Amino acid sequence: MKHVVLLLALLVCSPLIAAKENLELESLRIEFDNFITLDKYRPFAKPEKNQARSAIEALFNQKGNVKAHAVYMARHYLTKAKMTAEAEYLKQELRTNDAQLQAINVETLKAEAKIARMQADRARFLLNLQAEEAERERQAKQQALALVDKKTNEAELSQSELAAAREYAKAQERVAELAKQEADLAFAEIDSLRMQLESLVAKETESGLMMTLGDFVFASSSAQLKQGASDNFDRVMQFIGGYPDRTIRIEGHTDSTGSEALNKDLSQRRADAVKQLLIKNGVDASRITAVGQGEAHPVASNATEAGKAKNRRVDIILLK
Amino acid sequence: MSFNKLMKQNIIQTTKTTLKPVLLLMIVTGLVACMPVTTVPIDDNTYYQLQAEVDTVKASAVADAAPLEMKFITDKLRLAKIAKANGDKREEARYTEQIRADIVIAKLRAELNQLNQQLLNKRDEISAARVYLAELEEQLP
Repeated sequence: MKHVVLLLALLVCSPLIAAKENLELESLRIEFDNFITLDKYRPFAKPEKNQARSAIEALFNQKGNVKAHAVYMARHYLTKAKMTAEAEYLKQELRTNDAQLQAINVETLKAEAKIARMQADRARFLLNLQAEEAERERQAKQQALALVDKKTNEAELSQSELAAAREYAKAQERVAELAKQEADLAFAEIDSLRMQLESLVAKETESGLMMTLGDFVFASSSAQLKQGASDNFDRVMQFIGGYPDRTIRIEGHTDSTGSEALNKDLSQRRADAVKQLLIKNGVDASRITAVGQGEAHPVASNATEAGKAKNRRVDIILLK
Repeated sequence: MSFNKLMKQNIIQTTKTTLKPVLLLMIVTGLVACMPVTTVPIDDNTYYQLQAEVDTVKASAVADAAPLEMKFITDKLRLAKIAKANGDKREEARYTEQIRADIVIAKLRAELNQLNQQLLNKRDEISAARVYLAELEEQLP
């Protein structure tokens, strides 16, 4: 009885042993094992994987036509699991790529913003440059206009300066002419004075020998001797030098014009001036006395100019 | 007691202790093997419902995305029709289950194609965006 039971058991189990030898089933199992060991698909399609595993494991209990259908369905579940895993993997990849794209887009937006700022800065810089350039041009124009004005003014000024210079030159010319005329006159006067001095003659009077200097030796209404008279006093000095032992009396006279006191004073100062000139020319001062006679001793009528001229005089007397 | 008798008694005792689980395993295996693999209920309208499902799939973008699966589906639908005509409900149930499984695979195929295309487009988009970003970065100091 026991042997019969063992035999029946072996007969029932024989299809299972045969199924293990079925290459298709082995192929499915290996394919499933390979699939579930892929890291790429590990986190995905877990329910589908379990379904496929159950279907493949169930195959070992199938046989006949039923088995062929079960194999088909097991392959279906395996394929479904693979495709679902692949779909979920692709969706994850899409999400990752979306995130990458979003990050790149953010970076792109930042870069675009930076570039926009740069362009704006550059535009501002160019505008400033243009404004500065315009300002420089405006200033250059202003300077040019100012230069033109200056040149114009200078030209006008130079014209006026030239005219002024010409006027000045003409004036100088006139001054020179006048000076020359004055010089000529002065030389003429000096010559006249010299000639008059050289033509002086002494005459014998009661007081002694007397030489008379006309008023031509003095400046008008003054006791100042003319320079020409001082320089040409040789004739007088010759006259005095001829009588070194005699004392000298110098008398000043005027015409009657003006007050007596004034004439007295003027005649005294003229006499003193001649005295100083003699001392300067080496005559001992102790020999000389100077007296202002005023209008008291005229030698001619004061009614005429010729008489007045004769009355205005200085007498140098070498006393006896 | 001789050695042979002793071994025989030992074998008989060992067989008694290990036989129960083996028998239980064999009975369970036999019951599982006798169970039908498909649980699709078949009635008079099942085929028509299946045909409508197949027509819907044919009219969708899935048909273009999974032509091979559609061919299998069409062939099996024809076989299911024959099984229905023959009154072979078991065969009809098998084909019905396989066709529905094929429809699932066809839809997954279409979805995968679409996802692959989306991914390719996305990668192209990323590549173009990177190129553009690199151009922008070259302009930056």
